[in-house]
Amino acid sequence: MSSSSSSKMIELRSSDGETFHVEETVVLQSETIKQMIDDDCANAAIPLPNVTSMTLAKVIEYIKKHAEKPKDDDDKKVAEEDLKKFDAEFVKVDQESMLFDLVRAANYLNIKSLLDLTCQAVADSIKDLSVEEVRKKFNIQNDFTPEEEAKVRKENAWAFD
Amino acid sequence: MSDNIPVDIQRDIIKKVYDVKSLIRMRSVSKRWKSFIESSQFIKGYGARQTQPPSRILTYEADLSSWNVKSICLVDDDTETLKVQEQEFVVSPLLPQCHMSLAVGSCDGLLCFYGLNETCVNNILVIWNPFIRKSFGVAVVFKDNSVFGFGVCPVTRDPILVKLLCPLHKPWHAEVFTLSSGVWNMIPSGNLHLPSQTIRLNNQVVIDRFIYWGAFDSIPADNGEVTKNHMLVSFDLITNEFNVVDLPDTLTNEVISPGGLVMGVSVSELRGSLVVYGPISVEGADCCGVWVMERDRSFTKLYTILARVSNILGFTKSGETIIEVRKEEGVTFTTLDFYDPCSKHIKALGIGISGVVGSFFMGSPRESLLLVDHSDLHVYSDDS
Repeated sequence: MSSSSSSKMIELRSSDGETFHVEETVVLQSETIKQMIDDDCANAAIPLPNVTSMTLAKVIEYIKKHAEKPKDDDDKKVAEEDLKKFDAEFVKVDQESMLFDLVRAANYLNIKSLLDLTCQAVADSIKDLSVEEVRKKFNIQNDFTPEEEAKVRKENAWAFD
Repeated sequence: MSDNIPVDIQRDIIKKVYDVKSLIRMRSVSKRWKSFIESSQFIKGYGARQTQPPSRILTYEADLSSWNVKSICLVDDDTETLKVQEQEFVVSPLLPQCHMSLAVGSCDGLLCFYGLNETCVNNILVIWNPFIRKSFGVAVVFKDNSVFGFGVCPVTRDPILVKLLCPLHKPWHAEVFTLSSGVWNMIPSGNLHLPSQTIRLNNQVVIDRFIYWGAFDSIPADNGEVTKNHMLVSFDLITNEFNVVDLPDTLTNEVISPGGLVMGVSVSELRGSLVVYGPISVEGADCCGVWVMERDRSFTKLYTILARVSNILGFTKSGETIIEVRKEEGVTFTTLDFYDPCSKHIKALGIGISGVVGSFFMGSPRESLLLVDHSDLHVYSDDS
């Protein structure tokens, strides 16, 4: 890869004011940032008011890994396996709120592969939860009347075993 | 509040929950979640997914006197044997009302049975989604030589029943029932590319957009002998056309008629491909030949099972064949076996299940949300 394409650095600023320097080729995985660069809005640091420094550091870790290019076909297979392992480890976050932060960041920054990965991780994590736990996780108000809710539950009581 | 997940992302997450039981439960999270999960767009888009780990519904008659269908779920994880999931599935309440029921077929997580009542006149076809425990019935008035087929249209995801009738000395007559219409409609005779009215159909399997039946035709020759012609009959779930799929001579020449009884070939599915099997003779012994249909509709012999196999129920993830071996005359109950194509050994399936000979049926290892938006246990009348 020529030095000119890999050397240009983009500065990102998180909601809590921390700045990150990332190669342009890496950061272009974000459709949102790509649009800003295309619109010539990236001369100064790009403010990301919806993403905290902790989340942004994780996102950068992800896009850096996904920007690595395999040298040849043999390498490609190894790299694919490696990437799969990385993705699996990546969503094993200590704090549950981090996963939701990543979903929101991936959505805001418009990084499709990261959004798919994190949404799948959330889907897997809610599969065995109770209805109350799901509501709590997503901060969803129960808008059923007690009668309505009892009716929905009664229709498929077995699913609540 | 910025802390919340946007609604469209919530929907993306719901779409990634690959477990129908969880989805059924999550309908009570909120009104928005309920209407999304019950929307026909979501149900159709969810389609039929391979369960993880693959689990398959096995149905059988456990008791000759009651003819009641029993149903269990077998889980095919990476271990050597199939495991019986603890929970026994509650069979559609429409089935125990029948005097006797026969499995018709399975597609997209739905199972179809033909239930006969005691007088065998007013019968019922039952379509059942065991994973969400919903079913509906279609009443059918008994007619001679009727064959039923079941599938789900891959485009509209509409459950489809077909009825093929061959009244004596009259042309073929076929009808199709779609759940969306709720009625039987005649299939134009121009769609029935079936040359002979003496074709007899065996069991069915659904692959892609087609229902396939193993079939044979007995053609009397001038010298008094009867030629047995083995073939497949297909029904296109999109265009509603019946067709004959010819089998190569190399295959049909091998198929024998044990004890002079023409049984014809049967069909099964292996990793999305059509499998044809039938009785063959190896050094004078009755065995079972197994072939697979390639994408170009050519046939390749997979192997010969050195046993009198009456029924291939399916294949495990690791490629072992789940079989019912034909027992001596007079035996009423049987268990299932495995055939391992690598070691060529037959061993007991070992799930501790014994059922009436010939009553075993295995559904496809998929689950779907089909029928979730449909009223449970509704029976459509037979207006034809």
